[in-house]
Amino acid sequence: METLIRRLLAAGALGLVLPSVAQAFCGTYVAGPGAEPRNKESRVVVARSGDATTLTMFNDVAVGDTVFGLVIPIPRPIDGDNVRLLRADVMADLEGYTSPRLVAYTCDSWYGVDGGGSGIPTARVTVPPPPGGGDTGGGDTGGGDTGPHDTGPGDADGGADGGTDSGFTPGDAGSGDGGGGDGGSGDGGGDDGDDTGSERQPEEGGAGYPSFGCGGGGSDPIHDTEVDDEYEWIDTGTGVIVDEWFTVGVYEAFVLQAETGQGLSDWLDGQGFALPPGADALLDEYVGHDARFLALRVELDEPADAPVWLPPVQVGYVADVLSLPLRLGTLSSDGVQDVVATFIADPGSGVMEPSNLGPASRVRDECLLDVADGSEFGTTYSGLWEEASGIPLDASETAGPGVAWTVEFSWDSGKCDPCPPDGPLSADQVTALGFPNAAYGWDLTRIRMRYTADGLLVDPVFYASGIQEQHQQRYIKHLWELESELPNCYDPQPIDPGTCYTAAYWAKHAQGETGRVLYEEPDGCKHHYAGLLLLILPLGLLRRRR
Amino acid sequence: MIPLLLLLVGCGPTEAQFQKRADREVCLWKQGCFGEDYDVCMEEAAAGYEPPSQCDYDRHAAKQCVKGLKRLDCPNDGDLFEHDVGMPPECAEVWDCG
Repeated sequence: METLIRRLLAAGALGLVLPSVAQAFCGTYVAGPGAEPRNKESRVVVARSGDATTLTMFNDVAVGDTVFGLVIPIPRPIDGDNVRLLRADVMADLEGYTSPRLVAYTCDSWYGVDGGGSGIPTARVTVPPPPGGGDTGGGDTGGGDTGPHDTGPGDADGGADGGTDSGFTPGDAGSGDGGGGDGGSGDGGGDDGDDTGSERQPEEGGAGYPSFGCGGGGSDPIHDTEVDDEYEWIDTGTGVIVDEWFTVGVYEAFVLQAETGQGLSDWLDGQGFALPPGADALLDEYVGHDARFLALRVELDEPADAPVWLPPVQVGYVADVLSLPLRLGTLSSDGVQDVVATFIADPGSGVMEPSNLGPASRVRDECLLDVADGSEFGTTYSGLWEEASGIPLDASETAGPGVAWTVEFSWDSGKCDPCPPDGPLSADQVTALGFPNAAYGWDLTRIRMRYTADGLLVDPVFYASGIQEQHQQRYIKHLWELESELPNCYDPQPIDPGTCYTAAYWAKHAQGETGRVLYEEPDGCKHHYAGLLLLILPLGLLRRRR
Repeated sequence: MIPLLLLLVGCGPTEAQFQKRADREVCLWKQGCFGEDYDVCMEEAAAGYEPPSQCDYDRHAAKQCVKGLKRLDCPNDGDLFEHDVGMPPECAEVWDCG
């Protein structure tokens, strides 16, 4: 039988992204002494409709122990119905849709005289993890001897079976028409849910939570949650109240509330998880805002020396203010961290922007790059981002505290230009990401942030700017004939720039010196893109030169 | 003899003439359809021009190319179907480089 670790490793091996970037996520890893969980890449998605918020976190981890955990501050009480797993392939498609891209154009596609108008991306910065989230998700791995060990509540096997076969957890707590209330996010067709399960109701404010209970429409991409309905444990020694204890896929989940950061730290320590030094004071701030803490425990079959992808975990809650708890992650930072956050918001929201991180950095784009496909582009984009942010990735080169952010993608309702080969996100995928009303459209923003541990003094707070701006970080593969249309991304600029369709162009064309764009297929074969152009052009909107 | 000369002269532009006429038509097209600056376009077009030294120049093809460039339409935004904006095929035959 294929083990969990092999599956996770397989996912991680293909999940190549800007390899030198140390990324962070919402919350922090915890583990026993010597385990030192390390996170290289994270993707965060926030779907928000009104106050209803769904946070999806997709993290990799390398850890020297088989057991470790994640601790994520949540602004409001939640229960098991507010937590679910997402299929990894949805995150992969999101990455392909929104990530900066290198695009090959010819004169024909640039000027839209080819019937198609749009170029075809030859590469993107990131290569998303492979499809098959089920392989890494809780459903397939949750059961038997490869999933989380049987330390959770209730029947672990039951959890595994449910994750594979039956969609969401039974029970109506906080879900569907009952708990879903005005938030309504992710109710997944709550009317059709199975009412035979829990009678547990969410604590205060449960109504309005984006809840994933009750099966229904979202059952396909999501794995199940196995809930101990009666669970509540008060640890008098630390003052920590364990509101909930349940399993979701590979995760054993605890919803905690604490009186003090020290108490929470002690409680986690008692469970074998040490928080990084300095955590208590920071946790106090969250405690002071009546936050809860979602602690996720993962038990692997063997230590993960190389990064492995953990199944994307999704948490639904209601929050007046949209904030990402990134500071906790800085406690285990070794210098500079990057976070890529994607926001899906109601139509008309426009570009989502942080209100407390200063002005945006502008990463140079819409220019010609003379690079090969794939990793070389990733390295080049990394350099452009470093230049724009002013924060070197190497902490030893960093002059002082720093925070920077940039918008890498903003568009509405599944549009793009050019779109990646797999096309834009579908409404079903957006729904799976936790956005409840995808049929009526959405606005999507992708933001990249970089900060030093001492530069991020507050958690970023985001707001809907209302600014409708169609933007994607786009780079055009260098062609002589496009030189008069676009600048080179890097100096020197051409003295005699090439042109399209002029006498000079036809002269070059006759000598075979134009249109030589090689498009590398995933199979590694190289095809003459110009020759293929007329054969593969999709019927679509003509792109006019901007 | 004189009619023959006139016939030869009339069958198409010289290379230098082709460069100016083709560039003019293309730059007018870019100006009209895409708002490009005509003068900048002409300047860039002339700067990059260098007639191929090892290729045969075809005056007839050059003439047909310029005629085709005069007839270029603008691509239509939102057009879901193939259209006729394609470049004149004769333009690719102005020089035969073997």
